[in-house]
Order: sequence, then structure tokens, then C-alpha cells
Amino acid sequence: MRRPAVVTLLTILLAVGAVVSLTLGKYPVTLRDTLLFFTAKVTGCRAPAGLDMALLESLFFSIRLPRVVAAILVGSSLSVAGAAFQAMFINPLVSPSLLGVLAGASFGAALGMLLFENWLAVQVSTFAFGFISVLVAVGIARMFRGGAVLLLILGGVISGALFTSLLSVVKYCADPYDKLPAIVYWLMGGLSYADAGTVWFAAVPMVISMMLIISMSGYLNVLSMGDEEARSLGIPVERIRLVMIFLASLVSSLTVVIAGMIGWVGLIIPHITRMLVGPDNRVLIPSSILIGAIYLLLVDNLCRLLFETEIPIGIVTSLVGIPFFVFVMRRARRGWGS
Amino acid sequence: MTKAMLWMACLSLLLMVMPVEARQIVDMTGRKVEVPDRIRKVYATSPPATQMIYAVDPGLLSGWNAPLKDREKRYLSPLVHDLPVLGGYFGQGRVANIETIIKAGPDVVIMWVRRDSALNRRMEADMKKAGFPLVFMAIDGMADYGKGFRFLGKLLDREERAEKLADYGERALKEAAAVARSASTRKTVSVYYAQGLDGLFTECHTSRRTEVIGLAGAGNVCLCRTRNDYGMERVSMEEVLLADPDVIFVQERQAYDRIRRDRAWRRIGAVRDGRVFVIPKTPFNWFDRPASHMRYIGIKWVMSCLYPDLYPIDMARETRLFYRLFLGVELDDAQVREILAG
Repeated sequence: MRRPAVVTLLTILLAVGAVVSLTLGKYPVTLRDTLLFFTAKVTGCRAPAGLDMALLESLFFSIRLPRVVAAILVGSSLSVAGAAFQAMFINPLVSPSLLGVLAGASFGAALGMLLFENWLAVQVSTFAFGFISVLVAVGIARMFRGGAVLLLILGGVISGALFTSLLSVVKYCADPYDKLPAIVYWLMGGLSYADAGTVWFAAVPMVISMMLIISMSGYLNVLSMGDEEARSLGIPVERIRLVMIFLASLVSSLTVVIAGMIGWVGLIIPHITRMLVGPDNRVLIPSSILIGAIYLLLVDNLCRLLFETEIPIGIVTSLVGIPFFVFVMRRARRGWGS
Repeated sequence: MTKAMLWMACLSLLLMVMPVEARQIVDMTGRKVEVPDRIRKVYATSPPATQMIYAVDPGLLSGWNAPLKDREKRYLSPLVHDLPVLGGYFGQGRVANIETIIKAGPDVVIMWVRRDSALNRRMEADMKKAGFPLVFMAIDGMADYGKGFRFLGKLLDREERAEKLADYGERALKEAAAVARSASTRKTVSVYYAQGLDGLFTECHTSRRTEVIGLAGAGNVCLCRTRNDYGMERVSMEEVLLADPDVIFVQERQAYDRIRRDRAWRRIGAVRDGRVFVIPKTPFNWFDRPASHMRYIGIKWVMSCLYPDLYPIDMARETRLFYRLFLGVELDDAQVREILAG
């Protein structure tokens, strides 16, 4: 399939998925009421009597919509960060957590919950430490003169380990009756925390970063040929890589701010996308964004609807993701870089 | 090396323990345990048991399970402000270190057990190695706390005091039963228990954590089977809307603020009628986390929120009385207000 065709098809799928998700929920609303409500909304007519407009309004717009948007943003961000990292580091087994961003953000969230009573402060701390952990990773790599891929990966391993252990320290200090459970659940990941304010606020930098990554996807193709090749083509390798790392870390940190830790998406979605559309990043990056969004939307709907009480989405992304991954691997004839 | 030290410690402890007169008691699970004749110091492995020992006699505590906060100290006897933090065995974090316990040197270790488990066996073995008699307390529901206090009274030679506490509790439960009976003639008040920062964690109606709601004759809106003791069931805003509870009890101040502000929450009857209550939790929680004998006053508070007309109690006076009896502190008006405000 050619690029526009694939991207168009996926966009349509995502739009349909989003609309369908809006109509799904534990609170029963008949299809008729839904249609009436939206007709009234769109045309601006008076709603028929007996339709509780205010209730449907808060159901669709303040409960479901932020959550649907959050699923789309988080899924797409994790996938695009994963895809960019996989191209940059020329390694299909890399995920957005490579440079420690998720570990750092988790630590930031836990520390915030331990120290502050106000949720905004928790979010700021989450975001800040996501970034600090990447700076630590890049800093370690720099100490040994280089943005060379291997050193960056090592820096990431060290930084990730550092913040993971700091997180344990915070957990140890937290009050076992109120703070600790809150921290543990937050880190399991879930979109049920996504409140409208945070989602709209985070959406702007997330969408802009994704656009930038799409616009730079051609460079990713060159980077994935290796540093030597890229330099001989006159590409400023280090600078491009740093910009990419910055953008990917920004969106990854924001996913933790919105929904805590959600694993696996950033690893498997770019992979699956690559099997479907091939390795050309100009197609791969936008497709990853769309497939990631569709996937998380689907999984979040399962989380919302299947059980009496919600399961943390992080658990489901891995349980659904792994078999799916294996299945796609078996079916795929298009390998890495063919 | 540490093993050798541990054995040395055990030996010296054993030598210390040897000459003490011992007696045999039967603990709450029916085990026979040898304990010293006079028990001077006690360590309990989890907060609800620690709280009960504090209520019986603060002087007997050999340490806390988790560090005290400054706001908690203001409501506790000075005797216990500087006790060491020994940790405990309750879920996560702060697992007790056996050597720290040996250092604190309690005469008995009390463990709160819910059912027979591998962990109990291991604890027993660990404590035996360290030379401490391990006593099990088994308390299932609110009705068992009286039994628990009397058991402690006998074990710790504080029978009169324990009787007073058990008596208060039993009277509170009788009172609750009477109020629940008179409330049964009208529509059951539905209650939602909001936990977590956004108020969307709750407990199932089968959970022991929401026992107070049932005892007060109200109904928990979250109908499900508990998965485990830990609880914290996640629900969605839609389910809360659907349940439309008459009263909400909130664990966290942040969640309370959010519930009062948020457009979706404002559609719920309890929020519209201003019947959202923050649970008092200083120095120990009145409702849950940990679920303890503090629920004796907790159930009175719950009933005063549920039935202001049926149960016109002077909550400030009752709080003063309870804190005097159970916690050994005299409260001034400002403190009472602060506690009741959650």
C-alpha cells in the first residue's frame, strides 16, 4: 500500500473507533438517546422533552471524551517515541523507556505524591523527573565524549536503574495506609485518572511534538543506516539525535503525567506497524501513531467495560499485546529493513 | 556472620528469659503459648493490633509499625512519641527487621491473623528463633473487638481497663443496631466510599472494610466480590453516576475538593445535598486503612452523617469522651473541630 492510502485508512479507523468509544460505557444510554443528543448538539435545536441533556452532556463530554482523547494521545505518543527510538538506535527491541524516561517520571510521580498535597505539583514533578532522567542518561554518555549509540544506551540503563531504585526508596518511606497504595496504583497505569484539564493541557505539546517527529521522519531513515553513512551524507547526526530524544522524552513524560506507567505499547506497536507497512519511517511514523492510538483505545474500552471494577490498563496492554505480537510475527513476511 | 550474631543474640536473650516465671495461655486461634508471667513490653506486627495495645496501656508498647507524624503525636500520650519504628508485616514497605525487634526486646510478639497461612508459619519460626513467644489475635469483624480487648486485658494483666474499652465498644454496637432497626422502616440510605486522590477507588459491599456501613443500616452502592484483603477497587465515574448514592464518605481531602468542584460529580444526589463527608483520621483513621477499633467512634460519626434526625448526637462531646478513654488525651475545642473536619 502506498503511504497516503495506509494513513487515510488508519485515520478513518481511528475516527470510527473514537466515536464508537464515546457511546460505550457502564452508564446505559440508548442509541436513540445518543443520536437525539448529538443531533440536538450539532443542529442547535431544542432537545425533545424527557431527554436529560445535562446528564448526557457530562457523560459524553466530561467523563468519556477526556478518557477517549487520553487513550489516543497516550497510545500514539508511546508508539511514536518507540518508533523513533527503534530507528535511531537501529534496534527493533528498543522501547521509549530506553533512556530512563519512564523510570524517571514514575519516580517523580511517587515523590510528588509523597511530598505534595496538590495534584498539579505531582504532575509537574512527574514531568520534570522524566526529563531529568533523560538528561542524566545523555550526560553520562557525554562524559565519555560522545553521542555514540552504545554509550547512550548504557547511560539509559544506568539512569533507569538509578531512578528505579530511588522509586523503591520513596515507596519505602511512604505511609503504608494512604500514600503507598495511591503510588502503587498510579504506577500500574490507567486512563481512569485522566481528567479533562490535564488532557487538554498535555494535548498541545504532545500533538506538536508528534508533528515535528513526523516532519523529521526522513532523517530517521538516514540515521537508521548508521552514523558513518549519515555523516557522509552531510547530516548533523548528533544534533538530530538530540532533538529526537528531546521530543520522544517530552511525549513519554507526558504519558506518565496523564496515565501513569503503561508498558509494552511503545515496544510492540512500532514493531507491528513495521511488519504491516515496511521500514520506511516516512510511512512508519504516522502509521505507528495511528495504530498506537487505535490499540490503546481498544484496550482501554476493554478495561472500562469488562469487569465490575477496573483493571489497570498496564496489565492488559501486556496480556493482550504479547499474544498479538506473536501472531503478527508469525504472519509477517516483511522483516526488519527488507 | 549475621547468623552467628543472631544466634548469639538469641542465646543471650534465652538466658535473660530463662529465669522469668512463665505461664501458659491460649491465644485467640486456640494455640497454647508460654508467655512470661509479667509482660512489660509488647510488639505487635500490624497497626490495628498496635493501636489496641496502645488503648489498653501506652506504656506497654515497645515500638511503632510506621513513623508517627507530628500531627499524630499531638493526639497521643507523650509516653509513645519517641518509641522506635520497628516496622511490621502488613503488605508492603517497612518490613520488620528481626534484629531491631530483638533490640527493642518485647516480652511477647502479637500478630493479627485472618486465616492460617504460610506467612504465619514463617513468622512463628522466625520469632521462635529469636526467642519471642508469638501470640495470635484473630479478629474478623467489629463484633470481635470486645473479645480482643478482653483477651489483651487478660494477657497483659489490665483486665479492668480492657473491660471498660470492650464495654464502650459493645454499647456503641448495640446503639448502632437500634438505630439501624429504626432506620429500616424507611428507604435504605445508599453510601459510596470514596478512596484515592480522585475518589474513584472504593470497596465492595462484601468487604470487611465497609462493615460499618452495613452495621449502621445503610447500603454500600458498590456491589461486587472482594478480590483480597487489600481492596482498593477501581470504579468509573459512570458507575458512581449510575449508583447515585445519597451519602459519600471520602478518605482524602484532595478527592473531597475534586468531588465538590467537578461537573460530573455535582450530578450525584449526595453532592447536590451537601452530604459528602471527609473521614476523620487523626491520629488513627475512624473508618478504614487501617480498619481498627477506632470504628467504635467511627460508627457513631457515620450514623450522625446518615441520620441527622434519627441520631442527634453531640459529636464534639462524644469525640472528647472517646479520646479521653481510648487515647488518653484531653482535647480542646479547636482540636475537636480539626479532627472532625478530617
